[in-house]
Amino acid sequence: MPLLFAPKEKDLRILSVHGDAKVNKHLASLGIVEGGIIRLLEDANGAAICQVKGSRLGLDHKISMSIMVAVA
Amino acid sequence: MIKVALAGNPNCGKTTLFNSLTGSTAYVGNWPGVTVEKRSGTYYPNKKKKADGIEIVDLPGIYSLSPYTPEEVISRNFLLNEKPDVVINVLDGTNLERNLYMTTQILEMDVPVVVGVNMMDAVADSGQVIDLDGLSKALGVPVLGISALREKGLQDLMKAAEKAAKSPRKAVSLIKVDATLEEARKIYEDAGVASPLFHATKALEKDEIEEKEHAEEFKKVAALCEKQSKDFEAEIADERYRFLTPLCAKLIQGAARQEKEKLSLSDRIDKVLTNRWAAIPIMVVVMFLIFHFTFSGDLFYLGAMGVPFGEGYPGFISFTLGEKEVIEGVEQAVVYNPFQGLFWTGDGINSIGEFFHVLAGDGSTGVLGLIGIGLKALLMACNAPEWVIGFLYEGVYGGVAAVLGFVPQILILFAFFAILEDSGYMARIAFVLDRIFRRFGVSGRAFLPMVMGFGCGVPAMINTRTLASDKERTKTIRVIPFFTCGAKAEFLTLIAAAVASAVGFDAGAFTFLVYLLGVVIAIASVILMNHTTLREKVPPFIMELPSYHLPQVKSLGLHVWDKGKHFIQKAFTIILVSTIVVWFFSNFTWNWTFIPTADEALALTEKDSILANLGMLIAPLFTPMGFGTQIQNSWLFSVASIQGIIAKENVTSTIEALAGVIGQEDFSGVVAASFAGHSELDIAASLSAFAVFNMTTIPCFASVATAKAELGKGKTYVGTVAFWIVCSYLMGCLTYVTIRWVWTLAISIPVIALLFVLAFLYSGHKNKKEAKEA
Repeated sequence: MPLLFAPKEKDLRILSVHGDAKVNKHLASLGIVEGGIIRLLEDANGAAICQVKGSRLGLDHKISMSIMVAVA
Repeated sequence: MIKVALAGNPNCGKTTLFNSLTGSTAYVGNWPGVTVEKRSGTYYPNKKKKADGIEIVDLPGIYSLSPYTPEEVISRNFLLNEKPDVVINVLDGTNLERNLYMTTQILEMDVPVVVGVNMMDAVADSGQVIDLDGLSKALGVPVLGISALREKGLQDLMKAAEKAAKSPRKAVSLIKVDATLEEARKIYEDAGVASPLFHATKALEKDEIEEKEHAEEFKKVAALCEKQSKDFEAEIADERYRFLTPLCAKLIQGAARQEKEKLSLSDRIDKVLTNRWAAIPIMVVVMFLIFHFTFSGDLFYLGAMGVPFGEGYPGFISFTLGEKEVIEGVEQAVVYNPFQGLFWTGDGINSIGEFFHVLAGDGSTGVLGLIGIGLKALLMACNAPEWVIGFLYEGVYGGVAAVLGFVPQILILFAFFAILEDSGYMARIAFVLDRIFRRFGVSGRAFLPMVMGFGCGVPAMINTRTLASDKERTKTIRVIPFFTCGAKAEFLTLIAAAVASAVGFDAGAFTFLVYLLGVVIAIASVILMNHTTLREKVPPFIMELPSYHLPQVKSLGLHVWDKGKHFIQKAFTIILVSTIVVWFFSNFTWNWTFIPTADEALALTEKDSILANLGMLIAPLFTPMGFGTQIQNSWLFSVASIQGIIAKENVTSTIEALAGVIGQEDFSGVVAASFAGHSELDIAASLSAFAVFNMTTIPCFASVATAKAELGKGKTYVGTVAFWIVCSYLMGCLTYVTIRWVWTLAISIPVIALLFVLAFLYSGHKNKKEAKEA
């Protein structure tokens, strides 16, 4: 399921990231890679605040819908 | 001298370390991307011996050596091209795994590396222990624990760096990639490229910059991958974490896991401040309070609500210099009362910003007034000729003091914004606003440079380097001047006071409306650009939201002082020179007769001065805005507007200096003398247009130069300057015409609406065409 639909404050495993290559690389450098763990902290009006590898990221709606996760 | 580069993730404490090492006072913020330029300083291991210094270069924070934004490119280029003797890779110890991601990339370069794990105090506080020796073994470079803020472990770090700089280090790859990497490395090595391993890895990742810089080798590597039908684009990033995740799990011991389970304080604050309903109202209230506390002369609107304040605070000293003036036909002594209205005036209580403004004063009030009056008294005591007093006191001092008097108030505004940024709230505002900004045509990231525009446009334009696309940067740079900067706040306050005295319209409300109009013009411009010349898919919003923390007084003070210095320097250089020039040309005629002492038979007035002549020549240009040929002294308004293009403070200082020339005390007097016989509506229309034109036009030489540096010399830059001129002229005319003849809205609104409709149609058509082609 997309990150935005996932349960909050639970460890989620990243299954895939759908976006263009440049954005994906940037996301990877921030810790969002396939197989990694991510947590959804807040759904702020369709944008997500999430926790990845010890840091807090704000992601817009489109990006947070392009990250597919499953409960770990 | 050994050259040391500080590299690391944004917000990991590089600049704090830089300041601690070099004794500098560079601004440290709580926003990823505060440092957008490299800066260097010198570290002296032995405080007494100035000989063996080490050059330290602080680089913008980057998440990876595959840059995403222009400020990241600066860091990559420095590491690759300027060959530092050693790189100190600063890591945030509380977020080790993510920070190590870039370390694995730096290690792929042939450069000595020392790793400094920062924030060790915070790591210890959270009950964690990091096995630094284990990390050092895994990475193959020295690893030291430091606390940049508490200045712990810095000497050991520098000793290790000095030692590492002495011997070259061979690049290593910590990731498991098959033999293709080695073959790719060979391609680069044979071509004689420095750090072949690094470039080979980037080529496998299909890095954009690599493709541009080493086109030939890049093609060879691409061919290699194709032949073996392999794609490493995503795999390399995965491999880095496949190495790091287990490593960090092994090296970090302690409470970290448990703490993750419960929400941190920052997360709980976020639940309120980014709440789907409350976020925007909270933000609006915070912004309103900042402006209210900085500019209002009627705190909490007590005066407007009917609380009586009488005549205002009478002031605690008053004196006379024995001068006489004639008021309403009666000769009276001139009484100076420099601190009148310090705490409250007849209108209400002063906000903190207004208090400081009155305290600092201008040529004849406040602390600056005391100095000025002292100067005047001294000159009078020495029997100085009248023109000397006029030149020094009214011409030079009056102009410079008018500008200086606003500095404390502007610094209060800066301090409020610095608190917002330092606390971490600014990043949240950007996040919350992203949704709205996206509709206009920029991402939420553009919020910070725009807000910085309220302070000064120059750093604001430089900060656009944190934006991901060139078009987004251009759009943002173009509208930054519409965010009323500190220097514009000065003349705006003067105009607002004149409007209040001429028409009785509340000065605070006037200022606020002009600020608001600036924001509206900015939004409208972004929308139009986004549908015409700068069409693009708005870059995604991906931003680290730093933890909240209480603002640090020291850092805040340094920041505000730094800005204040800039304003004061400007007052004593460019503003001073401009004021002298203005005084000179407004007191001499074309054949160099000094007007005040000229033979009375010549009947010379200020209108015969060189400046007045030049001003009258261009005044017709300003007639459509209501402050051209239809008023008296139109040359004064023209000259002030043109001077404002050099620096916006000049509007204030020119008005102030020229008021003396035409025998008026301040701008309100100038207005009364210039608009004799005009209706109140007319005055309001002209002054509003004067404010709007100066607010939206070319900001100052400094920001034009910055725009040129940021946009390049080409069409985009020329277009930007042209846009400022055309836009301000149209807006000035529109303001005048609309207030003067309100019925014209029946024409202007449909025309503007049509303009937008056309822009939307155009972009819709283009988008469809492009979709078809693709």
